[in-house]
Amino acid sequence: MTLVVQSGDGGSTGLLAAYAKLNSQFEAAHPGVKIKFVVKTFNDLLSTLKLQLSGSSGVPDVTQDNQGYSSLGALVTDGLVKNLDPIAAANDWSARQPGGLLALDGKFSTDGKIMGSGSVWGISATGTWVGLFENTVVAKKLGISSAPTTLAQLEQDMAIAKAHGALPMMMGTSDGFEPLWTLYEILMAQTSPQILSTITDGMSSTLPAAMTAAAKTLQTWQNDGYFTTGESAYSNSDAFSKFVGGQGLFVVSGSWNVPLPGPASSTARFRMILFPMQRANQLAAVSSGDLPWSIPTHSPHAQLAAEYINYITSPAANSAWIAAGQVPASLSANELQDATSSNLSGSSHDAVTAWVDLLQHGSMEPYIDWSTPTFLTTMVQSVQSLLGGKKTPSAFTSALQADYGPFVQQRHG
Amino acid sequence: MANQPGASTVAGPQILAEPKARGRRIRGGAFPAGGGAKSRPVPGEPRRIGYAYLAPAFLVYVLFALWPFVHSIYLSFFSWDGVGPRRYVGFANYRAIVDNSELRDAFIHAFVLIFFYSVLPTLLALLLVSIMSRSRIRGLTAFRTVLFLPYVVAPTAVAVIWRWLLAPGGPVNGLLSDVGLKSLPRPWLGDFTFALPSVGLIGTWVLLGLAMVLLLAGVQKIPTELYDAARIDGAGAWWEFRAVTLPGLRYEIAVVLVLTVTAALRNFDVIYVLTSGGPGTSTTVPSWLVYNQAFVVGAVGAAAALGITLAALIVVVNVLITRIGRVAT
Repeated sequence: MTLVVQSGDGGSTGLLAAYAKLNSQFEAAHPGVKIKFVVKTFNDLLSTLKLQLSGSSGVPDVTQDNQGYSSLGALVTDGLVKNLDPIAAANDWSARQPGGLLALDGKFSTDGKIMGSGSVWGISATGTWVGLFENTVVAKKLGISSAPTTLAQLEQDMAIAKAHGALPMMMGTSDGFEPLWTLYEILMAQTSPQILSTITDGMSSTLPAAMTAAAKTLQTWQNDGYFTTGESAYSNSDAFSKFVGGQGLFVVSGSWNVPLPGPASSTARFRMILFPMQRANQLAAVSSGDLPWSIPTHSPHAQLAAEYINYITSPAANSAWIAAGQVPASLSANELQDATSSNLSGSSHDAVTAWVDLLQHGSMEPYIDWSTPTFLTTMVQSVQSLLGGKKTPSAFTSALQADYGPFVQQRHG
Repeated sequence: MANQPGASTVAGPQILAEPKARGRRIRGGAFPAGGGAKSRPVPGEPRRIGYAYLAPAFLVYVLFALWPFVHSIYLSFFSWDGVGPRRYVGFANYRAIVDNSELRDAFIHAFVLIFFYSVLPTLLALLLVSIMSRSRIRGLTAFRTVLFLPYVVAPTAVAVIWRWLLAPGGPVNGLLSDVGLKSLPRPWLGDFTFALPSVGLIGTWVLLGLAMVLLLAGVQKIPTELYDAARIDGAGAWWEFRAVTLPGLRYEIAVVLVLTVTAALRNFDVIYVLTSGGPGTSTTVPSWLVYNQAFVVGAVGAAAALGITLAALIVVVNVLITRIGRVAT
């Protein structure tokens, strides 16, 4: 029997290596089963998934999709994926992953209209979080000895860098992601981490006033010259590779970047920390699972597909993830030992340990651009206008509100 | 059916003994019904069997172009996510194109691109061609090839090359600061004012070669006597161009305009790779919105309405161009 597994992680070498290992383990445990692992890029997967799953042939047994209303939400609405509640209950998935993560990666109401609660339709195998990368060599030259633990300290460090003619923060805005991540982290630091889940939950159809304040801070950083010159020409990955090349004191990016490219002698100078909040002991980050795994309604081998998903998300898979430098979504304190004893170093080690901190004492908060089907597009356009000086912070919030308000109202109406 | 074997046996003798065969073909061939002298097809006129030869290509065309087009018109009246139930919304998707300033802006951007994709390359090509037609240039073929080359390169590759050229530390900015224009360098594709013209100039670069090759072919068929006559009448370079070259090229110019205007209006690949409509919404174009609505947002009805509007616009503009081309004669 051949189990067709469709992934959208094309290009992520570390993840794919771990999947290859787990696939052969799964085959060994299921004699007679052969896994056909189809790898697509993220865009290829998402632009064709709905049509593929609604067809009568060529439907994979297991597939990845994307969080949010326009991907997993639409698949649920159209009845194209199976309800995973029975498998989740039988295998106690709620003990496996933190509730917030499980909810945002794969829970929807049965009509697909409300994200983050209801039944389980998908589950992620690995996790990622957005934080702050720091170049310790640059920091040392500037006389900065420790990583910032509060937002005020971060601003202070950036001011020192600017005063010494160094680049405080590497930034690329052409795809809009990096300024948005920075905005979300500032929003949490200026209010409380839970503000992000409040927004995605849509309990109020009006965005909080703190959005304007956070936008103002972002714009101030820009006006103070804390960001890269010509940032609007670079994407987040352009900016990140420049940072790894040695430019800039900080960059805001995600744990999916580890292990960093290059020899250990050069990557050892980077550390990855949680973005500093208002107080030093507050631990929070924008976090999510990797693309969630779901079972198509027309999956030819649904039973085996369920076993597959259950396997790759189980604690038994963790050592394979960690060995490949990935953060398993189901990591618990026990697996921290694995991470410490394995050869992870530098920011790869940071990525795992901070994740454990978040799990145990911190807040994992969602990307608010999932709030409506069009919110990412709206936010990207608006944040580019904000940083390009074409929108004031309050006009920025109004543009977001014009998208957010009607959707939330209609959803509850 | 009875006619078919007759028609095919005729094929041989037709060549050997033409007059006789021609007569037989009329009686037993594809036009049996008419009988009268009027319906007698002139030799070389198409016969009905011709439609059968067309059928395979036409079928493919119907299946992959005409039917999807008609279906898109139908879909544009619905609110639909691509899979689930459709909700009839009348003209709401079309009204949004008029009412929604972001959708409207995309069409305005497309018209700005017409200047760069169509007007500019045509004018430049006319200039180059009139120079080439007046003087013998060494290595003309080489020049022609080099100018045509951008048109042959895949648009995605063009976009990647230009992203590098226009980057903040890229060659274009380097050149500008090297010649002392220190205030000009900027992130061209990330600049609210210059992103659209930058994309436009890439189009100029790509389409100049096409315009030039077509116009050059046109110039070569203008009889040299006309130029001689113009010179005898005392025409200088300008009047030679105005009185001989330009009128002689009107059909070619119409063809160039149709091709380049269409390229401008349906521009997708370069925008997708270079700016994705950004920064902000400064480079959004209808084709990119069609993609974004259909595949990212999941609003198939709205995407269909945008696509239909764009197609209608292209048809109208091209009819106008050919009309003007004809009036000019």
